[in-house]
Amino acid sequence: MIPILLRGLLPRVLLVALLCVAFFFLEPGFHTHEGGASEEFHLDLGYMGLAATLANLAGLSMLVLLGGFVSNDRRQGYYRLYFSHPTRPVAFYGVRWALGLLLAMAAAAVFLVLGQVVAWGRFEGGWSGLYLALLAAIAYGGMIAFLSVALARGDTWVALVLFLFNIFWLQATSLGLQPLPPLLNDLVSILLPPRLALSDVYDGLLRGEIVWGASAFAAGYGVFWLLMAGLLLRLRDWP
Amino acid sequence: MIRLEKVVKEYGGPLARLRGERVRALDGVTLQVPAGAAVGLVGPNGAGKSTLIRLLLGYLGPTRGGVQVGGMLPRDYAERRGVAYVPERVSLPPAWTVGGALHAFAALGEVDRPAERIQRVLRKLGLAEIAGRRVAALSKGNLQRLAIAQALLADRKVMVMDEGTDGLDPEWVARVREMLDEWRHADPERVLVYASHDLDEVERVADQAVVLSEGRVREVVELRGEGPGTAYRLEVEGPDSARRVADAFPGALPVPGAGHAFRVQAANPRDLTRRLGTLVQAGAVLRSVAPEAGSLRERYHQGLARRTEAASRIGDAVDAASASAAEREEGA
Repeated sequence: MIPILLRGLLPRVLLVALLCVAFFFLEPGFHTHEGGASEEFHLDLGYMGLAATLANLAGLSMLVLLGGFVSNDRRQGYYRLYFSHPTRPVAFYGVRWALGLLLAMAAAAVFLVLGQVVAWGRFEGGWSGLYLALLAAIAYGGMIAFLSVALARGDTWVALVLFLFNIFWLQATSLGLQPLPPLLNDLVSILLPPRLALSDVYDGLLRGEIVWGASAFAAGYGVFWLLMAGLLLRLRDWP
Repeated sequence: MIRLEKVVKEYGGPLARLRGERVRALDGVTLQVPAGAAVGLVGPNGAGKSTLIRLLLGYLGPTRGGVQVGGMLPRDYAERRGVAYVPERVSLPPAWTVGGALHAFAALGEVDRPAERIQRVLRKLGLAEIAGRRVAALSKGNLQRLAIAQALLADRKVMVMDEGTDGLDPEWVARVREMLDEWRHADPERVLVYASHDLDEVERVADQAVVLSEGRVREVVELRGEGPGTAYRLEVEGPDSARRVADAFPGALPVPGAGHAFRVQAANPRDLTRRLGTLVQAGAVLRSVAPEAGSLRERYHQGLARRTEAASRIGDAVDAASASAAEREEGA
């Protein structure tokens, strides 16, 4: 079944490859040599600086690879034949989710190595950046899984809007802006993917340490929504 | 094998309930299908056939009442044993090929010796030559045959067909009927649920037909075991031939107002052929012979008529109540 699922994911994998190309041009660390940047600038935006881009790439890849992965089957009625066979929907979509995670991480790893080789002519390292990418993939993967089970359509777009809004939200809160009343502000921060926790993990990686609390929060966010998705998948009627 | 106990299924969420907009698709359906039976589900559009089938597959849960398949909840049964299912609207990823789809379903269905099984169903359903064709390029008939092929891939105990021969030409309808017969006889415990608008086809395939209307069971028609065998409508040429019919078919009844047509019975196709041979040898000239499709059709319309009568009785009662209320108001 996995080869068939992989074949079905091929157009999305190509989209992720395009995303990698776009991120290559957007990543400042890959272009430090072009402007004759200082050594500190290179260090700051160098191979460890890539971790933030890797996290964004992995998170977005999960949305691209898994957008509509349940809602589309429901809407198109593919599930009717799938689940008349002895297959648990939770296991079926669980495998698809895991494949998405593997592909997103593979894309991040390829980006890390190939990007450095193309930009700097050599691979300097930065594998620990994949740790941040994994946390981001789990967090965004959990969110898209829940949205795809809960919504009949448009889950990919909702997830993309949340992804972008989250960037704005993090900037606003880091500048001390409180666009909403305090309680609502906290609620939005909890419901949105944990960029603040990911940012703490990133800072930790720059210092050469793992911030376990922030890591657990980021991973827990994804696992929570993943469990909610599994529960809803079990309880909800199929149309 | 299959049990439905006072099953009610309503569509619409809590908001629809508050607004009183919930739609009742099934209304107190009780049904038992023993092992080895073939049950036809018939009824007009919106009668609740497809809802009942989705309940049997566990895609929907009942609002009230209980559904069991093989002693389990339907979803549990499907997840453990699988159900050979041919849906009304066959929907598959368009990029899949015919062969690829069967490989996928063989993997999902944990089929033993998948390559061998796939080849067998491809040949059986006439799909071998288009095994590499994409689902998007299939005609409705070919898509339907693919759905039947995937249903026949594994050895299941329960088969559910929802308008399963829709889109097939008459030759393939007949072939599928033979396949269903073969499937049933391969294991006497197997159960077939066959929903269709085609009453004649249901009569040929099923042992029993359940007439559904507005979510209720209106009639249960026994299609086998009534009388000495299957009924046929036999028409012969001229009065001389007509006089000889009773010799070959004792108990033959003339069909009123239909010339030299008779309602005859035969135990099985072999018995029918033998009796027809006797009739021809006696010098009779045949015009036509066909299975009599009247019994289910008649009972179907009776069932629906009962519903209409009941509705009109309710309507009359409401009218009468309104009239008397109006009189009371006038009096006051």
